Amino acid sequence: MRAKRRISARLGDILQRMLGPVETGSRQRLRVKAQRCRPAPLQPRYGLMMLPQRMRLMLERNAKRNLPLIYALIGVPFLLYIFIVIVPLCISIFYSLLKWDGIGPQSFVGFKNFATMLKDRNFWLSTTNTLIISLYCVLGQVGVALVISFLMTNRRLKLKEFHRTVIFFPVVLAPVVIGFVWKFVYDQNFGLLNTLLRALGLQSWIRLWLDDTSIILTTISIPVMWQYIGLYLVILMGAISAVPTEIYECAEIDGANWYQRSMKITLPMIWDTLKIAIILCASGTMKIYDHIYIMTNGGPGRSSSVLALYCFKTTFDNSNFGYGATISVMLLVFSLLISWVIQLLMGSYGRKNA
Amino acid sequence: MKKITGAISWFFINVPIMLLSITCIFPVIWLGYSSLKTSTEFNLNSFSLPSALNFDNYRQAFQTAKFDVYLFNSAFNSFISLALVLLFTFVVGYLLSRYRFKGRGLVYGVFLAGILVPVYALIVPMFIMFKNVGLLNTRITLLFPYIAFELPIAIFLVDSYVKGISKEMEDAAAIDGAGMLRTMFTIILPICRPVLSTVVILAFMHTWNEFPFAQMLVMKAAYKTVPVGLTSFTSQFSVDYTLLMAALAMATLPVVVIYILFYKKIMQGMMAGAVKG
Amino acid sequence: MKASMKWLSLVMAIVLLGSLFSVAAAEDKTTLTFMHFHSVSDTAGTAKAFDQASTEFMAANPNIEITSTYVAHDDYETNLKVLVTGDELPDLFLCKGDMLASLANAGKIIPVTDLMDDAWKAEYLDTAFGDALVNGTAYGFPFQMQPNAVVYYNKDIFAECGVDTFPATYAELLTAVDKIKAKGYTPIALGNKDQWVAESCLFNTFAYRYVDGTWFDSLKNKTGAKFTDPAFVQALTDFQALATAGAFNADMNSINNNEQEAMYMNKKAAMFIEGAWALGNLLKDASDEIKAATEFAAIPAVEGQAGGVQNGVAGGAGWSYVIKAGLSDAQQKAALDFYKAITTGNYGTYALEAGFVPACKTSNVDQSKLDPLFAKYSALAATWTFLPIFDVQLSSPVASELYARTQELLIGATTPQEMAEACQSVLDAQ
Repeated sequence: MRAKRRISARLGDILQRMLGPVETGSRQRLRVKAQRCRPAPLQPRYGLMMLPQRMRLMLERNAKRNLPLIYALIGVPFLLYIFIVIVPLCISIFYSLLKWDGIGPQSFVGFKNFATMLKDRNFWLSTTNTLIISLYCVLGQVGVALVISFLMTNRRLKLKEFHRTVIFFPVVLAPVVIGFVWKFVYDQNFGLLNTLLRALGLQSWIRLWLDDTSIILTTISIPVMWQYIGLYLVILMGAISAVPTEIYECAEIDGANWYQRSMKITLPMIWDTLKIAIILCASGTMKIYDHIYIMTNGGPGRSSSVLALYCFKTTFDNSNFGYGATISVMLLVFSLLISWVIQLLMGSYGRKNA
Repeated sequence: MKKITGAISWFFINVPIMLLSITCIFPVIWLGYSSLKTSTEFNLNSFSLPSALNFDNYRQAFQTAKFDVYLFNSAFNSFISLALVLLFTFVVGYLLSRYRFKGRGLVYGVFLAGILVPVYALIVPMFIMFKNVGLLNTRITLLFPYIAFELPIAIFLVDSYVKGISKEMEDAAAIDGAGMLRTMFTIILPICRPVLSTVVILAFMHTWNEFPFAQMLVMKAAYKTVPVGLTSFTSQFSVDYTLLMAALAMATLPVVVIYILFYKKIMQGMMAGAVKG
Repeated sequence: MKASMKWLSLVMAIVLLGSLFSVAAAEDKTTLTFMHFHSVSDTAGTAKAFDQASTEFMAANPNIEITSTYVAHDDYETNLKVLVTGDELPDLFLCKGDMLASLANAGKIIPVTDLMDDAWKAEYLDTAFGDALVNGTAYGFPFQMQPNAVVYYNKDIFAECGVDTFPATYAELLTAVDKIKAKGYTPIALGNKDQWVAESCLFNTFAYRYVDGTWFDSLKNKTGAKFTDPAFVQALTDFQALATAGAFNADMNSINNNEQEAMYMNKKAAMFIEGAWALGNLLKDASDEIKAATEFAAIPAVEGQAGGVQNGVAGGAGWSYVIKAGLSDAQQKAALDFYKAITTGNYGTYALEAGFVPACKTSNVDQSKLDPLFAKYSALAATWTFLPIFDVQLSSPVASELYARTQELLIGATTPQEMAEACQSVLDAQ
């Protein structure tokens, strides 16, 4: 004969049970201290399991009742997405099997475009360039962002808020602005870089920034790196903030310095986010177009040509829609490959060392 | 001895980051004050501060480049697609994260795969498709691609964020008798403010700065957006740097304003660690 | 607050959607759509002349309504190509090169030779239709006849460096280059970031000192001439030698043609080579001192080359105004009237006043209204023979290869022989 209790009172019961028995006095203090300094084992989720059966069934029934609504709510954006992205993508893949100049009739040529692509020197040059730039950008964006986010946990760093805000700022600028500003920085006669070098007496370091084919890939990677460091910094800092501070406190008690804390604790705990950040960075840089177009348009010659630029030029300048579609299909394939490779390389490490 | 190593490590920690921060902010400041110079002043010394604040460049850019029309169109596209993106991604991200239903994996996979797609490859098929349904050159043309392109990353962000929210609140709400929609919008939505702020900035900036589709799908002068208007400007006036910089500054200003309004929320969200059990 | 903002914007969207369905005004006029790249903010050159002539036409013909769309020159061709794929061509537009040929062969634009009466045909200069011909029939109307390579030089700087007359031969040019460099000026300002400048404005005409129009026709029609012919390879070698001699500014591939003109106008360079269109920019932006010191010349002759045309210049009409196929009779007539007005008649006078040579014959021109600089230029240009422009008459892939390879040639990243072979293999693949 149970007294009828209000639902919220029942909730209070549940919460109390979840929080554990009440202790008093020094025993509690001692136990709590000891507990805090041991890495907490993964707590089982009490949650639903603790609810009496009736309540569980009620919640499940509610979920099922919502099913049509769920489908409707997801359906609208999903259909929009299919219409805008998936359908054109499939059409594009279909184009890669054609020979078409955009004006005349389309003729089906099967995999001939792919065969041409294998022998195309410019295609492989563009691919190499794109891969090199992606590598630079992953190191420069995620790598540097990682180091900075570690530094943000260091007490010695001042003005953290200022740095955070300012470093993220370039992310919101348009590629036109970035391209123009950096073109100016690199200008031979009155660019910022050369002026600075001359002022510091380092004239010998002056090179033909945008004309020298041996350094051009580095030169054009820098603005891209510069722009997006802030984005990955914010992502990684968000991941770091999810790490419970107790672990750090215990480590400090144990005598670990900042470097050891970063490598042994922070790094494994944010491994998954780091992996995703690297995948985003690598695949995003594979698609790079605006920055290169504004700064060098693929030149000098074809030394800074990247896949997206090559695809665009083939499709529109050379009126070769079939081959252009082939290149964009390969771009997608490369991105998938790279994501898969990164997943392989980084997937298991985190779990082993966590 | 400790003092020396302390000083050295202070130096090596603070100085490089300071340099990075300065290089991040200086070019834009430089763009700003250089646009207030006259052309001759600029040619003399490109880095000096302007002797007088000269707004002629802005006036000329506004008049010649018809910025008022472009600004309105860009604002229209950006704000409306932003509103819809927020709505869609919150709903989809939450539902994908919390509920199990048939087809969930498919939806999730399709959205994520979209991150890898090079969007420029879609211009031609999309153009033909839009033409066939009569969507070219209208005021709402650009809304469709802009919303669709923002969905993958935003859904991903919302999904990972919602994963980190403990379920107790929703269970409590369900026990109290709240329906799914009410739970979503009155309880979870306020908690998701940080990640939604991130989505706001990313989506706004992408749609504001977007160029290829704006150029291809909308050719009526009355519907053109800022980046398209800007390029016609830059190709003619590529030698009058101060004028050019005024135009670039005007084009960038709205994004910067949105950034200033919303960055605090993002930082708060990232640092506070949201709702942890 | 956020939720209500969202609802508000949704409502706004719906209202705006609704307003789209308002009915368009009834029409009893002939309407045409027109796409071009004449920028309305340009106050000199072809855009100005176009603006004057078209405004005149519109005022005189109130029953013809022409909706113009402006697309920036750099994006024009890409835009056009996307429009074609979706079958969304405007009624009237500008076109050139192999795109013109493709459209003509696909029947998307109409031939115009038979639509002109003899009097109208006679108004144009002799070779004006050269770039609009497809299989002998003209498909468009030219509006300008511009050489692609005019040397603009500053006689004061030349005198300062000890060069009294403009070099008449290639050998003399090399000597002059050394003298000018010694005084700290850049001999030839070159802004080749967009890749076409070096090939189209400099190399094309320079090549014509070694080969001629017949050779080019043979190359185009694949009847024997090849890029790998010794004369052409020699042209490439000598052109590269000019770059190795330091005739150009070191950052030639990272600045564009506007900046090369700026270098000249800021007295940093002794000369620059560009098409006749640059004169309009000079007239608009250069200081009086520079304008007074500017003289014109042709690219120097090359001794010992019998196959070349020493007073030839690559040039022609380039772009043509075309008419889409499938227009109604009334629309077609309106189109023809419009084109007549913006390519002949008063347009010719406007063109001369704006500083360029139109494709139509001009007479009774008030010399006093012409800029003296322009008069100097046109006197010189009248002595030149126009020859086909490589990148207009060859297909796009070949033109792209020529552009990219020329850029590499200038910085020594490719050899003349390699370039010739690469271009030839792309040409063969067409």
